[in-house]
Amino acid sequence: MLRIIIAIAVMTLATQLTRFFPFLLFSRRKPPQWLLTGSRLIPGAVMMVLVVSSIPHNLNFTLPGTWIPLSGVAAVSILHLLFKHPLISIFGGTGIYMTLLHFFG
Amino acid sequence: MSRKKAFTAALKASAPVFFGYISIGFAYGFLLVKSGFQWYWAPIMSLTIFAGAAQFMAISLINQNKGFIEIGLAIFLLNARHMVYGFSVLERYAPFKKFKKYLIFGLTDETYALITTVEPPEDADPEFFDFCITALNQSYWTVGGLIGSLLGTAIAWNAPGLDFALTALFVVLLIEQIKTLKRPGPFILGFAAPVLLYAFGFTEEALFLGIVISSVGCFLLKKPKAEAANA
Repeated sequence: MLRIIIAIAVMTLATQLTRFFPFLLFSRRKPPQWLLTGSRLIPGAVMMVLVVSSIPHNLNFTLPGTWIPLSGVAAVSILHLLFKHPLISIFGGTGIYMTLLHFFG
Repeated sequence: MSRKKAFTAALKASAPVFFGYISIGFAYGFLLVKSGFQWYWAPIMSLTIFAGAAQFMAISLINQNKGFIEIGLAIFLLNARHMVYGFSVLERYAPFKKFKKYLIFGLTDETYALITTVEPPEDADPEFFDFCITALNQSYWTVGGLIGSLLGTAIAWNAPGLDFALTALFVVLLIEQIKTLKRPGPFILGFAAPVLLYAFGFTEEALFLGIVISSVGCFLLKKPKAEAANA
């Protein structure tokens, strides 16, 4: 219980630090270019890390353990490029993944 | 009554976020309960952390008993994209007073998208309009999570594979980043770092160290030509 409360407090603080950071430091002076460029590029790198490391989460190098998550990622990507609507991509892709898992997992 | 007008306009403008937040919030609440948490943690986290991807990550970070420093740094870098939003609304929020802190607190991906694309009605106070948008969005997200967590408690079905929704959310955000940045550097870093860490046996640390290493790497990347010219 206490662990959960402290963890939530830490995550709230970490999240709010990202949102308040520009306002706390740069309400009067202009932010330097290297900081703007860096903070623009970091989200791309982080998202890639998150995708790569959230796949092997249940990828155990057995055949179904590999092709099912990879098919799920492919399904989400194709749906997103086709319909450009996050909800269709997220729920369509998750639905396809859950169906594959049910029949082949 | 320009306040009423501002609220009605905000209600209309936030309709797409309503559907998004209610359904993704629902999946979040459901998953949270199925991962062993009590239902009330869903609304508590939605009112305090108020960051979609971070709240999904919170479920596994807490369940895996990660240290608080690791949790904090991982969530900070996961949400680093919100800094970009902050930089781009610095001027818009500068004259605001009463609701400014709450507006910054609630600057999620979707709130940012709405605030930067929808104009407040002509005779309405822009600060109050932005406040309505932000507060409505947070209420949709909280209610979605609450419904999901209560239904998850009531239903015995475990929805095997529903946790893939988080991977799906990351894939969508990744595709959007690829479209925005239009350069390969950050994505190569983000791919190589965790893969190499896995290859060398750092399975437990791959996510956390991967995020840190690739983020630091981003500061070392060369500036693209267009930006170098503007600087």
